[in-house]
Amino acid sequence: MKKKTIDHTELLVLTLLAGEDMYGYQIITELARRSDHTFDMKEGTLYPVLHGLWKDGQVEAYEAEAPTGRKRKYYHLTKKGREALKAETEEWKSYVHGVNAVLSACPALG
Amino acid sequence: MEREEFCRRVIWQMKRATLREQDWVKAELMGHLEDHADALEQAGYDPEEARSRAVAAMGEPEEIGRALNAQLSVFWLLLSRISTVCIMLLCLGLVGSLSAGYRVFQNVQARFDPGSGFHGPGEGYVRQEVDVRGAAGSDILRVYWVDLSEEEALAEVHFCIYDKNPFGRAANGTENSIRAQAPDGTWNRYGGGGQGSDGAWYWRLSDIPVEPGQTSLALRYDRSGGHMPQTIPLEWEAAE
Repeated sequence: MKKKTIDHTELLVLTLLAGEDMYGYQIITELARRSDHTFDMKEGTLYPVLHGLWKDGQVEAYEAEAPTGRKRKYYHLTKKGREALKAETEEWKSYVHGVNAVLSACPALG
Repeated sequence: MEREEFCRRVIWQMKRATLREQDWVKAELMGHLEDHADALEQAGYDPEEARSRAVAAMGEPEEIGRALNAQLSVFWLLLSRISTVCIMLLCLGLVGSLSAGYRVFQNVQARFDPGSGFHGPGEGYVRQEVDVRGAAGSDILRVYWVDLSEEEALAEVHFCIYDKNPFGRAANGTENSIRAQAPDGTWNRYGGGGQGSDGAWYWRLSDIPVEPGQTSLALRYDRSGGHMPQTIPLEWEAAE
């Protein structure tokens, strides 16, 4: 199956950070693993997203040693980020519900 | 494309970033590229191929740089630069204030305690304290010591120059503007030495011929369009 571009990167990043603090490359690999390599994402585009979330106060950043022994910049979900995750998840579910409702009513798909 | 080249092209787009922000982004991107290249090497790629693939997986550096730049505020960049300029100006102001403060201190010292810190009279000389002041332009010339040697028939005159305004700068090069009158009536320049700075200059005119019993010594100070004659009383009794 052809890989899809990500339209909801922020939601996915917030979801991953809700589980644990992560650094950039870790987020990319975890996203690929959990989505079963569904998405085609240029890795560098993650950083504008992360910096946007940081600027908005949804994540905090701190430096720590990664398991590889190198210093890495970790991102941590804030309270504001958790609230944003809940709101965006609800919006996503509503969107999926709407799309499913239309699809299920399509005779050609029956 | 090499890692460094990739990071440089990202940073180049970040016009609103401070140097510190650029360093942060570069360190983060370099870390990502190292991690990815390591993972590819472990998967069997040779190191050069792994590094190349890691860079390619990042996408277009200009696009990433522009997106990061859009996250940054021009306001904070301007504030950061204005703060830097203000700190530099404050430092310069502080240095200037200290310099001005020292100048005022020297000016005041020349008015009230001019001989402080200087040596006593030379061998065979006896010191006479005087306080003769005169003005030429904005300069004040104050003679505060005269050292007399009856045996040598010589005098040394100690004087300082300061500005009328305590915050003003004392005129330098005074030694060229001072003449002393010899017993034969001629006006001559005499050697000596001096030191000082903007606040006050201190000079000593040496080997001025005098005659024992001479009651006064005439000095002339030509400066700033002014002409200031000074007559210093000589007290030979003090030298005996």
